Amino acid sequence: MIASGDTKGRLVFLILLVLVAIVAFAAYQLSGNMGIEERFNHAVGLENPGNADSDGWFGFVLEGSPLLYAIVLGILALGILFTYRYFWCKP
Amino acid sequence: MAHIHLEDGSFSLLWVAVWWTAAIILAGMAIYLMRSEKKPDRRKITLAAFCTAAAFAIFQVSLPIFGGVHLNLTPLIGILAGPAAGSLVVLIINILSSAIGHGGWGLIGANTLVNIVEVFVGYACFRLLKSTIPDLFSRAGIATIAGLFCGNIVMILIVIISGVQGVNQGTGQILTGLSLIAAVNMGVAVIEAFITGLIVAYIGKIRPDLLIGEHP
Repeated sequence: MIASGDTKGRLVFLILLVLVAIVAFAAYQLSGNMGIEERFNHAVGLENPGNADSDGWFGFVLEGSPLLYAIVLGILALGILFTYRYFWCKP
Repeated sequence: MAHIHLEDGSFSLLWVAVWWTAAIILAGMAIYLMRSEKKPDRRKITLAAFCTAAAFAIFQVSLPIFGGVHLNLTPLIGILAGPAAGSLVVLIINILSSAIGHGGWGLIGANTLVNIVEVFVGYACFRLLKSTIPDLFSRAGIATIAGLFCGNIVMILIVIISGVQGVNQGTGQILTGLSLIAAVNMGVAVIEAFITGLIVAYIGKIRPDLLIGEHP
C-alpha cells in the first residue's frame, strides 16, 4: 500500500519529468541535431573543429582514448578492492 | 551532466586560474570537514570509491539521445557519499576525464564547480524533502532534477562571466545558445533522475543503513 506522502511525491516527480521532457524536446527541435561539443561550439560562436565522430556501438560513443579509459577504470577497480578490504571489511 | 564542453584556450588564463582556485578551496574545505569528523565513516569512504569508479565509467560514454549527451550521476554521488566526499569525487572524475582526453585541463576547475553544485543541491534536496516526500524513488528523482538544473545555471553563469576567447558573439547570443544547451541537458536529467531514483530506492530496500540520514 502506498502512503499519501508517497503518492504526492510520485505525482510531483511525474509532473516534473513531463515538463522537463517537453522543454528539452522543444530546445532540441530549435537547436537541431548535433553532438554536445558541436552544440557548445555553436552556442558560443566557436568554429567546430570537425572531429570525425565514430558511430560507436549502437550509437554509444566512448569519449577520449579507449585504452586510457580501460587503464584508468582498471586502476579504479583496484582502488575499490583496496578500500573495500581496508575500510569496509575491517572492524 | 552539466559540463562545459569547450577546449583549452576557450577561457583566458585569468579565469582558468580563478575557477581552479575556487575548486581547490572547496576541495580543501571538503577534506577539512572530513578530517574533522571525530570518527570517520569508513563505509562512506568505500561508497565514495564506488561512486568515483561508476561515475567515471558512465561519464565517458556519449548516449545516442539528442545528438549525443552523457550522464554524470553527480546528484547520486551527493546522496550516497554526502557533499564533502562527493566534492572530492567529482574533482577526481574531472581530472581523470581530462587525463583520458575528455575535456580540457584548463576547464577542470570550472567543471568541478558545476559538479559540486549538482552534488550539493542533490544531497540537500534529498535530505530536506525527507519529511514531505518519504518515498525514496521520487525524492531521489526530484533531488536529481533540482541538482542538475542548478548545475546548468552555474554552467551558464561561469561561461558568461569568463567570456570565450576569440569569438564575436555578444553576451545575449551566447546566453541564448547556452540556455538551449541547458534545456537539452535537462532532457537527459529525466533519464538520470529515473536511474538515480531506481538506485536509491533499491539501496533503501536492501541496505537502508547506507543512505545518510535515512537509518533511524
